[in-house]
Amino acid sequence: MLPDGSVTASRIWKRFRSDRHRNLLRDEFARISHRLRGDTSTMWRWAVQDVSFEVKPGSSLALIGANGSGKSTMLKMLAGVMFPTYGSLEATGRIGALIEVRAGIHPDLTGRENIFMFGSLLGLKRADVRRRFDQIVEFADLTEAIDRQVKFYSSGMGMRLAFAVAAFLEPDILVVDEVLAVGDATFQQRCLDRMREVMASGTTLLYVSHDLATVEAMCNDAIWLDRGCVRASGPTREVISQYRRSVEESAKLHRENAEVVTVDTVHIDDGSGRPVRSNGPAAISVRLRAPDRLAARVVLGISEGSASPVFVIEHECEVTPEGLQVECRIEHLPLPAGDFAVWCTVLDESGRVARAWTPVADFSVEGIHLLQAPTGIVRLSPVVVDSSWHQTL
Amino acid sequence: MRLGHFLRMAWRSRGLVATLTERELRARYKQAFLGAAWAFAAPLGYVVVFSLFFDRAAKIETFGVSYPVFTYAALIPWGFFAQTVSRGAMSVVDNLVLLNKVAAPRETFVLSANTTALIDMLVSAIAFPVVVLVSGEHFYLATLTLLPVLAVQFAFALGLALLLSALLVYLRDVRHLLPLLTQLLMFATPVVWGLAAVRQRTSDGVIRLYAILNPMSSVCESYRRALAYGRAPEWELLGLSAATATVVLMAGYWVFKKLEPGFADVA
Repeated sequence: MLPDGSVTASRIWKRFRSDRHRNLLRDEFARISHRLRGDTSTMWRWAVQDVSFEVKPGSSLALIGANGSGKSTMLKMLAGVMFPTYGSLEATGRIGALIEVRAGIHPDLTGRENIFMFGSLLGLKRADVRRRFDQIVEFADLTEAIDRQVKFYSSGMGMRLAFAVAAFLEPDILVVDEVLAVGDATFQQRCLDRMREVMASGTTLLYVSHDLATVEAMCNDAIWLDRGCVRASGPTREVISQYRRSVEESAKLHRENAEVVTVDTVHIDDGSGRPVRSNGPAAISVRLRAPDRLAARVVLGISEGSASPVFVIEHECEVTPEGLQVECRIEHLPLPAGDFAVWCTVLDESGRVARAWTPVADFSVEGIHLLQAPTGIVRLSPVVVDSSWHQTL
Repeated sequence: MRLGHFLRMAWRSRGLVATLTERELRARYKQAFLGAAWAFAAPLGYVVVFSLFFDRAAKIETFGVSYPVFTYAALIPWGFFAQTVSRGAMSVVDNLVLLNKVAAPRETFVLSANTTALIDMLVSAIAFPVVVLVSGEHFYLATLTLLPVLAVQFAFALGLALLLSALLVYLRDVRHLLPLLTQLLMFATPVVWGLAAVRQRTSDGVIRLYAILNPMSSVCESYRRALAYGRAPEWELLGLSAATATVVLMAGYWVFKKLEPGFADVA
């Protein structure tokens, strides 16, 4: 018997219908008549294919991947809402799931009635809810609205109400699916704080989000799902950097052809032919060409792979048909050891895009390894900052 | 046994069933202007219509009881049955969005729809003494013998609701058939007419078979015997119906459990 809070998934497969069959008696008749004519094809789509993993009590696992990669399906199976077609899934202890929780809220009841209602849906006793009632109301920030019917709430209030009930479940396993996307910045921060508290008390966390920064902040390990298959798994930072790389690859493929300015060559080193090091000098040289003379603004961005750069630098110049070589020098490159990409866009005088924002080169940095922020603290950009500390009494 | 499994589940999630029932009742009575009055407004309306039509036009044999009392006694359990079939059968489909997000035991939704219907029935029964007094009839102690009848009607309706609610997830257009089916079934059950009158013309075997095929017949007749005539149920017929009800409940739960894993896939 596994200890409470552990999850073992072995060779999970899940399929859905992908034909035009609807859940109607009418369609059922049509299917029977097809079958009588010897046509027995039912079309299936595999949403999850052969996924295995193990999560130990108290640790945290993130599922990342593009839309439609099977993340939410996987979480629904973990939450016990859906069942795998093949394979076995074992989760021990009480599971609390935060999956678009607004569905549990009844519009005709007041906030107070809904808290009890939703609490018992999630498996809490009335006494348990009563004990946590004040905490829940305070967390949801609904003090004076609590005796109003929920249909008169704003959408954010309804969401906060549902999340607050679920957040005070005290489960052994907490399953969270992108719920933080709704709600304002203050509430998001409060949710993250609450998740950190829950984790500190030994709860296992299973987390799905497109916000890679929070994924990195919340989870030790990650699995990258791609069209239902595992593309990579391991420590979060490594998996995320592989995922970002593939996002960059697909961005390269989607480059538009109708571009005024073309980038011929891009080179990056420390200025004297050696690889760049953290906090050391860096030189990026770019060769640009345009069919006609063009006064342009060249913008370079250094990113971990995605379209959102760590920082940008820019230069105004005149691009010619013969080609123009621009070189940029950075005295102290504030990047930790790892793989990065150079993204580039060129704008003309009136700010129109003369070359789209796409990656143009990859490079590696050697040297200082990034300091990991404590669990639950979202770090936006991976930069290395020299610091010296003095201590006096 | 499956039935034991079901009873254990029902006991474990009694808190949830209570809350769901409360939600249903509160939400309903909160919106309605007359509140609980609606629960007995409907059967009273039926009594008036039936009295005008069947009593005057069809000349139903009531064996010495005024027609409103005669039909109201049977309408009490029938109202419950019709409500379970319509609400209970829809309880899973109506809550699919929720069931796709929260891992609550799904049977509880059907169970709470039935409990809601039962409470509605008890509320609607409040109007019965009024009808009795207005019609100048008596109120009988035999009413207490209805407790086992209550169990039979609950089990039968629950079994049907479980079966239908699971099927409706996959065959959504069947819901349009339900009102018609319940309406037809009402005329196949002694609600507006009495079993006693039919009995004089048929053999006991046919009556027994009828009790097996339509458990609601024994239920409605038992209510009528107790409330209108002050007599205990015919235990033999009720026993046969109870057997059917048990089988239906077991079959309904079995089908429900068989189809349940796919609910979230087609939501």
